[in-house]
Amino acid sequence: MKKLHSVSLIGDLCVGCTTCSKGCPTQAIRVRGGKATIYDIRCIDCAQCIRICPYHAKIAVTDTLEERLSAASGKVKVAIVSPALYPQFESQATRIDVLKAVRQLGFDYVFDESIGYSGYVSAARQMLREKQEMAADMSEDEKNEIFPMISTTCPVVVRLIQMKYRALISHLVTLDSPTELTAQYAIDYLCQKLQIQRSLIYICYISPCPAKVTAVVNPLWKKKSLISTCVGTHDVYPQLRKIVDKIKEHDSLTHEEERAIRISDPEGLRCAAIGGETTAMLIENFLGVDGIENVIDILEEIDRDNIKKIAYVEATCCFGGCIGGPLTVMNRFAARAKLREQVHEYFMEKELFPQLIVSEEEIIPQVWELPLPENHAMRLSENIGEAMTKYEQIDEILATLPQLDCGACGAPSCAAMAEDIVQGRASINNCIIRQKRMNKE
Amino acid sequence: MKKSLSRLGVKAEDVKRASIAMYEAEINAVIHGHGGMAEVTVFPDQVKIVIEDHGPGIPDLDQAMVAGWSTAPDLAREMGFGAGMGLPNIKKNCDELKIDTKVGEGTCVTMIVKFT
Repeated sequence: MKKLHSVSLIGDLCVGCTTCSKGCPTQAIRVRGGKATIYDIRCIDCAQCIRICPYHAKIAVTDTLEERLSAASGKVKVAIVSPALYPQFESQATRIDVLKAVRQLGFDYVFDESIGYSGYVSAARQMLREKQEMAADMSEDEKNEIFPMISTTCPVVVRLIQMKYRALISHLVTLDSPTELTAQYAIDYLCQKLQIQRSLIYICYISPCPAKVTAVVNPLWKKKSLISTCVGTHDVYPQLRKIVDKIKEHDSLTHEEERAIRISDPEGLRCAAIGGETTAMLIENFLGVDGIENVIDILEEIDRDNIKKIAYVEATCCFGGCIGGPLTVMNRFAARAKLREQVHEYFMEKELFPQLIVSEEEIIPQVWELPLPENHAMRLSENIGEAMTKYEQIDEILATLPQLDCGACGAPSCAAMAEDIVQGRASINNCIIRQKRMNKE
Repeated sequence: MKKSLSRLGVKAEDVKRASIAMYEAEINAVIHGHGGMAEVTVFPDQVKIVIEDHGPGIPDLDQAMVAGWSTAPDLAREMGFGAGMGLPNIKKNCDELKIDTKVGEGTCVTMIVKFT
């Protein structure tokens, strides 16, 4: 299986301090030869390492906009903008101001990703109703296999389930992501409006996190993403901010802008923060959880059938939802307040620019093209007999390790180290505590 | 046990069945048997879970297997246990179930979950 991730290391800045290795929720990082390395198959792109690295040595790899736009010459250049971008500005900027500014970066058309969110929640609501109707004739066990439904808008949560909570795959909402739904809408709209071939449309996604970039490069449930390239919010922010700060007129659009910008209803916009999606589900028995550690706790509980009577779970890797994404700029609480303001501005938008608004009925919900495969990165061997032998060896080695979980060997814990040794990825001599004790003896 | 079975590469649904069976038996041992010992043995094709307590034993095993039948004390019920679904749930989730019980001496529950 092809494994590509968007989180990468700037070797020069890494001092080999083990902060990332110990902080990684899936124990995917080891420090080898004084530098952190990511064990690709276990990485879920949560970006925890980017957040906690004291030396800023971990980065998200995205494309730079200039390069990409010049590569797309002769094509219709389309931007899909994550709603997490709108509240990143301190000024009076409205959603439309931000989209106007994005267009000035060199795009012909700008689509608000909230459009896809709006379509996603509306289709998910429908799916939930259908499942609840079906559940009327189901046994308790059958219900436990599909409820609570778990949102798939955060790709980190999906990758986590794929690897560590595989029994919960049947709980996932089988809809394509809001990014892809927006892209599909944009393609259909432009092909029809401009009477052009699909191949002439070049779509760039402005992402708040590396996980959504990975979901484009290495899609979870489809062969190929509709998105051509991705840039991170932080990459375009400085340039964008200069343009946004210059915008004084908040209630007018040029004819060109009117033609080029499309936005969603407030349901879609709210999805940029945790709670937005479940609010739009129009149910009482939902649960919203943010922050990767909290998500892990909840999934653990669902896996044990301990979460009863909850129909829908909205889970985001980042605190606060996508507005707290690792590539965003603004403090997430401030961003949340600003987003609330922007949601209220919808009434102004509706009054002034009704032609810009795409309603949820216009989005065609797409379901997964392919089933979600399980990721067996956590198992010791494909062969259970061999796995059992390894398990015993790990226990034996672990007993000889100091169990201090100091991380000095490069593994996050002695147990992880014992596993690395058995899997041939590390040598027991890397344990300095053990070496020192042996020298004394 | 759950984590161990997952690491060994046991399928998610089998891990789940084994976990539920073991959990219910543990709860029984705590509520009725005043605690006990659990022993888990993993074979390449199945897992064997033995839970043994030295509690009061089960006087009428057939009755105890009936869904909804419960002799759990109020304290256990207040905490959400004791709905009488423990043994039926164990039976449903494992492939072989053996219960050795003697009034006044204790209960030993042996469960086998075969890997699919």
